Amino acid sequence: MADIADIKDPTFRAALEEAEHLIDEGDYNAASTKMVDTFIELVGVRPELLPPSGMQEVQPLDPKGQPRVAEGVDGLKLQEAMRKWRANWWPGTGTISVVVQDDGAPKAVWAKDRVSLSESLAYFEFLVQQLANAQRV
Amino acid sequence: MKFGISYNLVLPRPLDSDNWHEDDERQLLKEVLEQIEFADKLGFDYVWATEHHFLEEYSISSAPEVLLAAASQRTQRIRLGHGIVHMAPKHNHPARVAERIATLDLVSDGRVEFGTGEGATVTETGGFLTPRAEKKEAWEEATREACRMMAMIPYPGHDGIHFCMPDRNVIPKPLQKPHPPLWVAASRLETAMLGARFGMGALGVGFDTPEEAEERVDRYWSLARSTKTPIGLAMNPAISTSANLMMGKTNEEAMKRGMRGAQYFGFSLAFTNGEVHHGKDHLNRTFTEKFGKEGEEKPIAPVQEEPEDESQRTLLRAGGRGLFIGSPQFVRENLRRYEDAHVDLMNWQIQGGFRKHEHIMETIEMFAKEVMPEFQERHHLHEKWRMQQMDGIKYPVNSTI
Repeated sequence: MADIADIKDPTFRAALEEAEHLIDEGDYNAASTKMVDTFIELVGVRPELLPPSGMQEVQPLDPKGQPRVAEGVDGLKLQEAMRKWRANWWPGTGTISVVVQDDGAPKAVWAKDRVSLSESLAYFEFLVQQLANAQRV
Repeated sequence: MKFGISYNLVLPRPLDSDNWHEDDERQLLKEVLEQIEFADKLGFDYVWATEHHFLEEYSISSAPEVLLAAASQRTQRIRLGHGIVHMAPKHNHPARVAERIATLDLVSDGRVEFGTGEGATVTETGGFLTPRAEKKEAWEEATREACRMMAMIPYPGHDGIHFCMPDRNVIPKPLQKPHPPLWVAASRLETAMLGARFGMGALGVGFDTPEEAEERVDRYWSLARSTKTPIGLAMNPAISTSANLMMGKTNEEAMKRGMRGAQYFGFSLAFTNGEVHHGKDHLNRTFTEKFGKEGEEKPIAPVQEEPEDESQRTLLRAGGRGLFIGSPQFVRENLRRYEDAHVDLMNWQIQGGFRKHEHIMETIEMFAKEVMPEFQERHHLHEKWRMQQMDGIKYPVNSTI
């Protein structure tokens, strides 16, 4: 797993260091703002991280209420493209989501005006890993 | 490496009825208590009970504190783990959590492991009206305060985002001081690392491969040593993983006993995050239509490539053979790979779906007698390694690994 020291790009590395400093200072909103902005910047450099065109959100269930995962190869193929995208996309379960606008540009959307320590730390771990992954490609 | 058994209390509806038979739920609970008692006698280290709500045919474990309390009176040594408590205050008020954890710790003579989590599925968080965007911060706030309640005399009160409470002395206090070992459910990588930063054991529920486990262990310990923000008053640096276990004298016998249950587990787990028709779905019938009746199973095409998304991968692995449905030799060889990765604790999912009580009992016995001893004999080497890893930790530690 990656650490800040593994990130070679000086801009991205500086962003992570600043975010970590802000977390240590207790400013989780500012830290998370820095991190989500950095992620959007990363998407700008690596547009392949954007969701496939026209792809709708795919749930584990199909409309008839049956788990696709149980359908073996065929069921998995249906979701494979979306899964690959999701794995490298900003975690959507907390305060901040990243959505793609009509013009194709990603944008941060805040569900509330505060970020907790745990959320900011989770965002941090995600971002370090994504920046490290991007270096490998 | 230490060993535990984890219970979801999976209970499919019978095919011949729209609902469970009158005695099905009671029967399952009685069998599970018998299994826990047996595991305790044979030297298993931990038993974990999940907390799930409204997840029909996937889990009836909605009151784990009651099951664990019953287990505490039938066992002598085994650690009693909440795997996990839903910490969002709308699910469980933090004071009630502190009271229940402490009381269980007292009646069990200090054998509780305090596993915490957010509550995973929309069915559950939605049922208690906890918005998805708030569940992580609700978990954090409630966990921190519940730990304080167990240690402080009196608890000074709390004016927070997710709950408020005036000053009160929350009693009783647990036997283990300042509080039982803390864990966080960690199906995602970020959460495992969050556990390290918060000084909590990472209770892995993601069916990690040995290679993934090794990678997590390295980063986890690095973060745990440098933590600045432990959430409790004592750290529990530890990393566990989970896997599906069913044993037989031969691989074929184990697969015959265990595969259908594993597939059902994965199938029903997939349902929990989707569109659920409460009280109306019949997962077992849907599963049987898709996979065939027992003994007449339809062939399933093997999956060539695993999903990259961790949640989806967990679903897939939950329903597969994995590395631990097999003979003692098969299980032993695969388990050594996790030992080499320095995983502290392996939690087995043995109960599930259609697995028969007698096969579960046989698996518990076979594992304890034919596989576990060599790992127990080598545990002192792991303890030595752990001491090296803990060098530099600045906070008190309460860990039972």
